[in-house]
Amino acid sequence: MYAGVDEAGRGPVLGPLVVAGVAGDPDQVPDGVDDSKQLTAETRNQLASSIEDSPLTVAVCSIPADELNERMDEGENLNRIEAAAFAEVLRELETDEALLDQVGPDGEAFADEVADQVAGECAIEARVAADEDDAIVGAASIVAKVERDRAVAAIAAELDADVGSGYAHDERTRAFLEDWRETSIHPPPYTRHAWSTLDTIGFGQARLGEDPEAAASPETVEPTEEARP
Amino acid sequence: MSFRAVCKADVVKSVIDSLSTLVDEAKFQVAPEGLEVLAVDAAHVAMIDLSLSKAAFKNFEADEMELGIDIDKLSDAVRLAGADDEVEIVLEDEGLLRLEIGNLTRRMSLVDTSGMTDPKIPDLELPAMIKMPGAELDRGIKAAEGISDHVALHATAGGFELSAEGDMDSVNLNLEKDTLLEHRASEEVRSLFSLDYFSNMVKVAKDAGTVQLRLGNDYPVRLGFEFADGEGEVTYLLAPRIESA
Repeated sequence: MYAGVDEAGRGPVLGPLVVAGVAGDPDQVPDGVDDSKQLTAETRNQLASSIEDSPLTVAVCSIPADELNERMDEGENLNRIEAAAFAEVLRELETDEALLDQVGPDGEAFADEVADQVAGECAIEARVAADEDDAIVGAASIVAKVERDRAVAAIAAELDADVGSGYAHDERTRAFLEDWRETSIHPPPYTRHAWSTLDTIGFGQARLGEDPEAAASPETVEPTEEARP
Repeated sequence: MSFRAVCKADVVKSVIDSLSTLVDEAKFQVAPEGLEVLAVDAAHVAMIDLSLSKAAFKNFEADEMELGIDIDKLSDAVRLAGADDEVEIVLEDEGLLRLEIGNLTRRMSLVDTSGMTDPKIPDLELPAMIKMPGAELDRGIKAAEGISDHVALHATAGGFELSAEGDMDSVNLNLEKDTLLEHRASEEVRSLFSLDYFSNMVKVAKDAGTVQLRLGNDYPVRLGFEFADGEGEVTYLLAPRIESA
């Protein structure tokens, strides 16, 4: 069986990295599937539902930000973490042929690294922009993006705040982080510490006149009952 | 309202170097006895308190006033002078400063000070005090810069330690109590600082000969030194970095 795998959320400052795989007959991929980045959120959601309702098999591996922080602190690089997640998705799909949207500069090396972690025979190819020219990888791209959007929405609900898309270039995400910094020197949960974004916003750096103890105290940042809808 | 000051270019250069690490423009509080600048950087992470006595000048006649000065402009003008050249600074008009360096005349507009706030110097209890040669501190900071963005300053009853940690590498500068010019530390204290800020401050301080550090626990550091043969004084205050819980 043929499978496509893609990821969403490699570079954001907030939220998980999501790797999704879709396996089955490419003819069963719903019409309108294109690279997920070219579609509106609404279209993506509709397509994701169609994919879930189709005979295609779907597998998702989501790595939360705190796990990424921990693994990167231990020296594991993001490409390696992604390779392990791609492999996990392929193991779950039990496929014998797979096309991956390439991670890192070298497609062959990435495919080999994933293949090493998939037990059994599986012909794996990885290439740039596979999500644009292969329907199954395109479907995987949509599932990954929609899963990530759901995760970010759940974080927003839990923190009772507009966190935006979770990417540093998103003004809503920046505004959320800057607001958070006003009451806490420590970054909010679900954020990635390896990125410089948190540094540039001033997390970890006390200000003169600010009591670091008070700013570090988690009590000051918990949403109150009244603040909840 | 009049202001006229004559001094060696070196003194003006020291003022520029001290201020430019934190701000682009600053409000000079001028009085008959000398001048003072109090400024905080845009991120509210560091501040400077600079004072320069009338005695640092060959000639100093001034009424009480505020002069808003663009540090870059002042730097451009004074860069053309040798260290021992004399610089004459005159308030020519309201809003216009004239600098005379030898036969060169440079006029520069003053900056409006109405929008500049007066930073409040935080009242801090800093239990440890260390005095050491500026060059020694600079050596430690240079070593730390090679491997990290942060440096830890650590005072104990036995002395002073500066340390930095990279992924695999580390730097330690260990100074025993009796190798320091002065040392007072009743309790052990340690704070972490961003080298983006601290190394620039130390770079300015190192020429001063002796520097004074005052430290607390996860608390700001105060770095003080003199310039202009002791007639000028700079005190930097830098807020710490707080390691994530």
